[in-house]
Amino acid sequence: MLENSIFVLLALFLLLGSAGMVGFKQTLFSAISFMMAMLALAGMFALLDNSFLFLAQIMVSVGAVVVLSLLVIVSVNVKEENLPKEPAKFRWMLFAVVLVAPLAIVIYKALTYMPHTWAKTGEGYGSLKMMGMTLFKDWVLPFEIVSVLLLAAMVGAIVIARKEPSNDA
Amino acid sequence: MFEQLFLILPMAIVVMGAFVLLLLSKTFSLDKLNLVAVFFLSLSFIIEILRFGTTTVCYSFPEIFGKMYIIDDFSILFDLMFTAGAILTLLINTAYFKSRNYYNGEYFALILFSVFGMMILAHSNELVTAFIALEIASLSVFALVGYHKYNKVSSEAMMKYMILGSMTGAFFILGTAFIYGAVGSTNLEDIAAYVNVPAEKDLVLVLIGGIFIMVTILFKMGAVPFHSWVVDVYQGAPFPVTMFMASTFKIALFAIALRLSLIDFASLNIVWSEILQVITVLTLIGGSFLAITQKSIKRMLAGSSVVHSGYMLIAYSSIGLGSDMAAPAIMFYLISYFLSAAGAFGILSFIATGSKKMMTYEDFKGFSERRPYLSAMMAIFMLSLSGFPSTIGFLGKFYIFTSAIESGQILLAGLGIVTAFISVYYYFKLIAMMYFYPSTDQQKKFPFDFSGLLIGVMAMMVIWGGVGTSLIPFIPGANGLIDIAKQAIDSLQNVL
Amino acid sequence: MMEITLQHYLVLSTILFAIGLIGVMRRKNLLLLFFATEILLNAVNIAFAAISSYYGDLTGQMFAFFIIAVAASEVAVGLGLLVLWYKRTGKIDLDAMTSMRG
Repeated sequence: MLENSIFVLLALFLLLGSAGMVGFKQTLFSAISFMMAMLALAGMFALLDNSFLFLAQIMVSVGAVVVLSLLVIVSVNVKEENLPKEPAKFRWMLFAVVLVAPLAIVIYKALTYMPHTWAKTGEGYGSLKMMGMTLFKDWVLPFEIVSVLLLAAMVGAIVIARKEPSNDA
Repeated sequence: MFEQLFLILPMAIVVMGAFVLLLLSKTFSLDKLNLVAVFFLSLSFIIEILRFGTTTVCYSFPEIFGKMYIIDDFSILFDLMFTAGAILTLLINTAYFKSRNYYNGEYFALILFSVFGMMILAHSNELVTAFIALEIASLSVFALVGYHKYNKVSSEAMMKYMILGSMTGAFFILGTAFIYGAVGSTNLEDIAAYVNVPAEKDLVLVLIGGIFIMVTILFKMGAVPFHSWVVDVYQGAPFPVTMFMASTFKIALFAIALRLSLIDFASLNIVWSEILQVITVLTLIGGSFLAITQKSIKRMLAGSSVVHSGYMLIAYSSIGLGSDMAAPAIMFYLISYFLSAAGAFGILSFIATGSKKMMTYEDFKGFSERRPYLSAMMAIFMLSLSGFPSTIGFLGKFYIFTSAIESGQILLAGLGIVTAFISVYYYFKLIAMMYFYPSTDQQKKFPFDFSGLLIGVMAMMVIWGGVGTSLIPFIPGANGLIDIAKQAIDSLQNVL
Repeated sequence: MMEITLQHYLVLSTILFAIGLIGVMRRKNLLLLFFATEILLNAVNIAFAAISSYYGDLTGQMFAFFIIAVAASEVAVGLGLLVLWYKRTGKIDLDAMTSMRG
């Protein structure tokens, strides 16, 4: 019973947050709604007994991604008049809803083929210990190449954003 | 233990090369860094070439990697193409990056990271690994596209590519979620086992999941409903990166597409073929239209690369209709396209070294008087791209159309031939510009260097692949290449 | 009150994916485009976590974990590019991208 109401609350926050992210004109408000969505998502993971994902979501998505974005928003500090002009934004969005709706229906129809009820999850499912065992016993290769991915992304970001001493050509 | 290490050695060498390049990037000059990168890539290339045909299908470190990293002739052949493509990209453009002020050491590291991602992609036998590998390759390519950061066009190209690329990347994982929901595993063999058992199971989830995965792959190939980025990104990227994307990155996508299609979705292919046929028709027509309307050679080659994806999609949709020839035909076409496109882009960047303007058809007027050898090679690559007989491109198209006819897709083969004739227009226009117009500039002296020599060798290979048979032992001609392609596909199908 | 099933999580994931797609399609603020792609990836994460719980199998959780890492790396490169873009043009507007036409 409690679980149900928690789910409903979290889902509400998640949807409101992401809808706000898409809807707000001010970038800062969007970023804050995005943070709300990410926090609600972390709560979802906790509700699903995924303690490790809960931690990762808080640390990476909220701690790193959102904070980094806020930092960029504050340091870039786009003036109100320099924000993109989006006249009739919501009318266009309605149009987009119409476009996306068939896809969403396809996804939904496909998902109805999945089973409806919960199977019993095993003892200790989602505990950090089990997660660590799986990660380092069966999933070593993806884990290692994700490290390469992060390194490549870091190099790429630095190369793109760094100020060169040389002249502008 | 050491045997196992030896199995992953080629890819380990590439990623270690990237680390070494990062460490050296501030101390070495660009020339030396280039040589270091080429050294690591050729080391990997040599190991792979020694191994091709001698290894049986196996998994590396099965006790900790599971069955995620597979080694077979199929993936080794792709590795050979990736490393060769990267080596050619680096060597042909030695003069180019010295003439521009925005290159620095990280450029080489990013190329090696990208090659590493592609190699893992070719070897991965599991969807999670494949997704991460695809992301490594694409993120490095994103950064490479925007490498000319003082140029607005380059940054704009990167922005477009990146936003669309990460959006379609989400479809790959959505598809994986569906397949995982149906099968309970993301390993390709488990999925194949699930799909191939003819029990009354609903394959709807797997089918829709497969379609979503294909959306991502088709987007990165530049097939037509998802092609809007191709021309702009190819134009905005620096020449060496365009060459790398057109010749090497495109091949990587066919590696995963072929593996998925042949192992997993073999029995679903009949349902798929109709969707693929529609996409193929659109790609052929839309790509031809894109290529015809361009004035700049770089944009024309970008548009025509969409058409070439279309040719390969003809054979790709024939796979499900029971053509044995189709998969080797794609491999052969990949090799032929790789040689011709890398050569054509190589010449463009070779010319662009001296001038900074955008190259249009007009700029090539009388090119044969100024640079007779280069224009002869350019003509050879153009002939090969248009599928003129006695070049490797002709044989590639021949095998593709044979496979289409074999599987009963006569109309599709007909459309392919029609677009091949259309392509004659935009390729021969360049040849005509080079040979039949007087030169506007004075004749310059011909600087001769290593890049020119390499391009010459590639032109010879294009001709050799078209006319050469096994007259000279030890050097594979066209017969040899198609045999190699068949051997690679066989190694893939013997898994089950 | 009805019980929360796998279905509810999957429907939630679908709606979130659609919201993300709408954001990518119709907003012109470049920063929001990166947020919207994050939403897309995270929508799939819900599905993965839920299916994983359903099967009692940790594969889905692993995938969700890797997706979090991939999303973070995409945002890192994207924000780097955004800063560069803003420094040059003074805007974060998708419509400013018009230097290549035809």
